[in-house]
Amino acid sequence: MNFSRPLKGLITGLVLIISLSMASISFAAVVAIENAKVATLTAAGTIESGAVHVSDGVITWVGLGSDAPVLGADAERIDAQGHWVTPGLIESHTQLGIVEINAESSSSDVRVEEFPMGPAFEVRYALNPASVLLPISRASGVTAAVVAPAAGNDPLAGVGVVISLRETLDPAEMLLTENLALFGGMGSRSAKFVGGSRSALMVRLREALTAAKRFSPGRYVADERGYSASDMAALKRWLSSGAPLALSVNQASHILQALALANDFKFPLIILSGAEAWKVAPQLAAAKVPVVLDAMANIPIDFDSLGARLDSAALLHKAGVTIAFTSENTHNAGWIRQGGGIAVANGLPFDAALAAITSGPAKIWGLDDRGVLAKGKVADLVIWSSDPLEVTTHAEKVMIDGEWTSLETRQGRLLERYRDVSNTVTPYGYR
Amino acid sequence: MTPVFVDGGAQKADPIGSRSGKGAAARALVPLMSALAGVLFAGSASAAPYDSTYAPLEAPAYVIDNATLLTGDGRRLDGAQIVLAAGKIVSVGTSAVELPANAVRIDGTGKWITPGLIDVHSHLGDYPAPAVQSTADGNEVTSPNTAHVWAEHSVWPQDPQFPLALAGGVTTLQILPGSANLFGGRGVTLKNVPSRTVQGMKFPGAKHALKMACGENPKRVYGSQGKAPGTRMGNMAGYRTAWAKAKEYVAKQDLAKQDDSEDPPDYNLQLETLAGVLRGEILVHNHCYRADEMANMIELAKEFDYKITAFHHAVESYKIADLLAEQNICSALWADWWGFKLEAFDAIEENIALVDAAGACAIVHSDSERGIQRLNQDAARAMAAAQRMGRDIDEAYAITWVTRNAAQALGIEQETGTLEPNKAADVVLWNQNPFSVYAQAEQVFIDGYRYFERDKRVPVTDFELHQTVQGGGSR
Repeated sequence: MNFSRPLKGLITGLVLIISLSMASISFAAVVAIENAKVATLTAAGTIESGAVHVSDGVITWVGLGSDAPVLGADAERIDAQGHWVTPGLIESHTQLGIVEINAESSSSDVRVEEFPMGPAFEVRYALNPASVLLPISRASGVTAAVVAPAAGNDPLAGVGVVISLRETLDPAEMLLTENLALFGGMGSRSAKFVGGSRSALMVRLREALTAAKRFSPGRYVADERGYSASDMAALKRWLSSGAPLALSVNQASHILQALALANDFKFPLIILSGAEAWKVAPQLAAAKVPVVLDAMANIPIDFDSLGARLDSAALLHKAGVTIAFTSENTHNAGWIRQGGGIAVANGLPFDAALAAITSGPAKIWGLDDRGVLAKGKVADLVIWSSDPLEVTTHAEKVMIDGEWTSLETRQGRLLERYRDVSNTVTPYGYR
Repeated sequence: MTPVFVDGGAQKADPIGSRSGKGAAARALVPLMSALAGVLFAGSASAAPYDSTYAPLEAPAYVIDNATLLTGDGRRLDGAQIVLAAGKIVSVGTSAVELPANAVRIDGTGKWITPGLIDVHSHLGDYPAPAVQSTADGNEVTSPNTAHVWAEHSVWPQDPQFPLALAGGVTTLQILPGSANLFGGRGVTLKNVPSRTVQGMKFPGAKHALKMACGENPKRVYGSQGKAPGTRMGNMAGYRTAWAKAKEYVAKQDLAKQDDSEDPPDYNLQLETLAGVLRGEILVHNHCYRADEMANMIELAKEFDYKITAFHHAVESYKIADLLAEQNICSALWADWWGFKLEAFDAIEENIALVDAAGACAIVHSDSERGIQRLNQDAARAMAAAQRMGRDIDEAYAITWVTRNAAQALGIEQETGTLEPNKAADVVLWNQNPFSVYAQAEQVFIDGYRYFERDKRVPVTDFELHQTVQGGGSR
């Protein structure tokens, strides 16, 4: 479904006129997406010849097009031409909004390098709604994303958030969940921080958690290698909040240690990365611990990940573990679709792959009003040119909070400028 | 001219012993190694040092019927047959007049066949998995000019990533040194076959590459140490100084050849590599992101009269696609990877489409142990971007970006890269259209030998033996 530019303008104009004229009235016009293949991600499954109605930012009706309620004359009707409509994609592990260029430390707020800070680190203070990455991610169909601190020296890296990729210049308006989870890692990098051994790392974590429970700012004296008062306060806040620990951990034996830690200190656990999670899938399923994984990670990249394999997602799903995919690439967040496709090629059912980038992450991260197309849910959705997991497919239209969002990007501007380098009519620099 | 210090030099030098004090053990190893070498290379006594010892394995003839063929030269043949025998492609698309006796017949119904994929930019073996300190052998970060190092001398043939690339249909790959230096060293083209030695993987007759690097990496690595280069102008000065010396070196060598009374210059490994470029024996593969820097490199090549074969990672090639076409320089590109550093900030999804549309040679490359497993999917993304901007191209056309064009950039287009009679039987049988994310290589042939059969027969490296997961295709 390709709208020509003038037509797009016309539609936007009409919508603007309609919404302006409606401003004084208590109900908004319905947007109806018709003739669509609707992946509801609910028990209703995927509906061929389906329709989705949206009003006031919320889905008001989903079902067979022939069963749809009658629309008012003011409804905006979109013919999806039989194309797929899915919930907006949710990327489960990014640094969107807190990094512009990875290698330029001045443009990156993803971690502390030398300053000692662990659990107290909060990404929400660095969120930049003007990041050029946000429109690019949005144009690839990502409508919400977990923003996490990057793995740093400390095994506990800080507090992450979930953002909406809605168009706004106010960082506060991006936030869907503020104190989403405490993020950490049990990789060799964080082990190095405590002397180079996971044996020491676990001792430190257990000591810190025990101390955090009875932490009181007035009486606390940090020892040389211990946490500052602000870190301890953050740990205590997190422990009492019931928010999960999202722990990046790969080796099966370390995952079991993480499960034991969560059990002992009574916090919800989410496994990130989990190269060998498939080996302990029954234990994860029993403990209802979900796994956020990169479906393309099959390289035995280090000694923690010797068991990495492409059918990890299929094995975890089969064992009953809730999964979500991440691209582990903030700039190319849209690659989660490709990861989903690869997981399908390696045994994961198609619906489960689609769930792992929509309803799965919504469930894992507690986004109860997103991730599915159902009455009453927030209208974050995408119309795709074809099968949403195919690499040749693109997002044709993206709706967030019931509004069609702009798919213009900086990259799109570069394309227009250089589309015809032989153009001598408009001098370079003015195109 | 045989350089004296190479000939027999290995036995005299004892760098391990002199540094670590384990001289006795090292010396004891030498005769063993020599004996081993004698066994391994029996019958190739005439080969020059470091030459390829690869020889195609004996294999039955294969006839694959009723498949969809993407020939790698722009054609698509439906319901077609391909016959492989004695390491070569015998016929394509039409029934062979006489099928080889005892040929193995494969039903290709519903399946697709492409030439073996070729990655012109890989670090498999020199940055192997596991990626730990002891295996990081891809960047000789000790001097901005290390034209004397050869990537093949870092390649660990037991890298578990080789079989993973094979599972992705990659039959040929160029291993390059890293990009920390202005002159990183020589690259090598390998057949993706299991082997105990790198010589057993070397693509016979393929030219060496010279890896050069523009931009951020060299100036960051050396500038941060207070050494040259510390700026982009420092980069340029570094290249020019080195090329000027190489010119002089070549002139002296040429003079000595013509005039017996003239002594040749002292043999210099670094200058030998640059001289190889000036003589057209070594191909320049130049890591360069920004359009303005590529233009500078083109001026540099003009100044010293050498040819740039390809710019790698050239995310801004689309800005100078006309210049690249005119200069006949290939661009080895990602479909859409961007933003990891400032010189990769202007990457656009249509880069490959625009370069290609300008008539310049476009290649999809990986520079990634992950990307190399799915070059076909990167080509698919680039194709889709081209179609979205209105270019009327299809799979038959786009497959050239990972086959024929890549072969051209490696100078092996006479041997491989297309499905044509008498070319090497480097062939991939896909379970469906390889431009789909769901496609998998089912069988991979190199010189007619079936090295990969998904779920049935896949190579396992030494490193993976007795691990819980092993081998391309099961990993």
